[in-house]
Amino acid sequence: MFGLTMLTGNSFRKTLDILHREMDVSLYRRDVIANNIANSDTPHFKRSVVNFETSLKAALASEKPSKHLQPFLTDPRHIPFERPVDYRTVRPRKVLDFLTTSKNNGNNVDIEQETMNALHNQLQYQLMSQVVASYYNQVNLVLR
Amino acid sequence: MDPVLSSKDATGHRIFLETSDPRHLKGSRGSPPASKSKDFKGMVMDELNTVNNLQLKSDELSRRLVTDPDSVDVHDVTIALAEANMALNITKAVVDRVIRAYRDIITAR
Amino acid sequence: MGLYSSINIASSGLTAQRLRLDVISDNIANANTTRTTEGGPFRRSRVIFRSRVDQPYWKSVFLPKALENEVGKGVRVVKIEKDYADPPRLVYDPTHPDAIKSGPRAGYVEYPNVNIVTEMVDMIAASRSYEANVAVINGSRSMFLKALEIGR
Repeated sequence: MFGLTMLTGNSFRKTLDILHREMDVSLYRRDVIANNIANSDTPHFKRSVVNFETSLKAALASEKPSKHLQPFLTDPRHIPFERPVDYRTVRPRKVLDFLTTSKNNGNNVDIEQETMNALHNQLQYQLMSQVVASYYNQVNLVLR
Repeated sequence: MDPVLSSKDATGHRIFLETSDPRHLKGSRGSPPASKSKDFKGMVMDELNTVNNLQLKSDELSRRLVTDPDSVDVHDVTIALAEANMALNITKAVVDRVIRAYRDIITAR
Repeated sequence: MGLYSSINIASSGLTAQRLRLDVISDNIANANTTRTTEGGPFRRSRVIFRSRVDQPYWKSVFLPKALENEVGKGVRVVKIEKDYADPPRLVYDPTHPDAIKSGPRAGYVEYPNVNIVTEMVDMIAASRSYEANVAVINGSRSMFLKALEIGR
């Protein structure tokens, strides 16, 4: 029986969950970019960025055993070198970027770069909605 | 030769709290896995429960769309609606096939 | 977060840039006004921007997680102040009705300290910021419409 409880744990559900989280982070990032652009003339304002994808990639990669040196674990009390990280615990982080060079009034927002980031964000969100829509359409198509 | 454990089984880095007194605070030990029934009727009831929960969730999100639009995102609402739709579709297809199979067996006897 | 927060932030930027443009056009229009109601020549105005959520200027490792600020809510204009720093331009014209009557600068007329080139550059920067904010709003609208296609 192809019930939904049996679909948990395999890659259909997991991919949908990852895409949903990525869409959430994409909207959060859009807020941060819009704030950067709106404050592009405020003196002493420093731009922020959102980090999520790299930590998500590290969490997903940690589920498989890595190719590096593996310890020889024989007792349950041994401490392993790497622990699998559940990708559901990864949260986005907003980081203040105070290292780039700033303009004369202390502001370090680059309008062109922020506009490019906004465009990239928009296209990524649209692509992910398209992917999620096609996932659901696949299932509904088969059951028609 | 001792059996080699995988990194999931070696839990030396996790040390649980000593709770010798009932007033001690308990650390989290993880929750037991949800019980899964093995017979057909149990599976059908579980499925219907899941479908119902998905419908309730999409109802809740649609309601929050009106009363509290700052707390809900557009893709949350549309994904919940698509999930509920898909769940209902799957359940309907499965029930149809089961009934058709039952009828085939009864009439072919 | 919600559906419209990025649009709200970008529209606060639009409002602020529009106000800045208004002030600049006021400065340009009054570039030769020698008499104002409060006496003296016209003084150029400028806008002071602040972000709506004050963020720290540095990144401190001691900042606890609960105090880490949320996403900002855009920009606001704190005040429009007159620029008294630059002295007014002096032009020698004893026949002008606003000429200084006596003293070491007798016969000079005080003209406003508006530099047209500076104002034009400022205007170009303001319109560029305005366009960037408009691009953000258009992008948000496209994203919203695309997300509605899930499950259609």
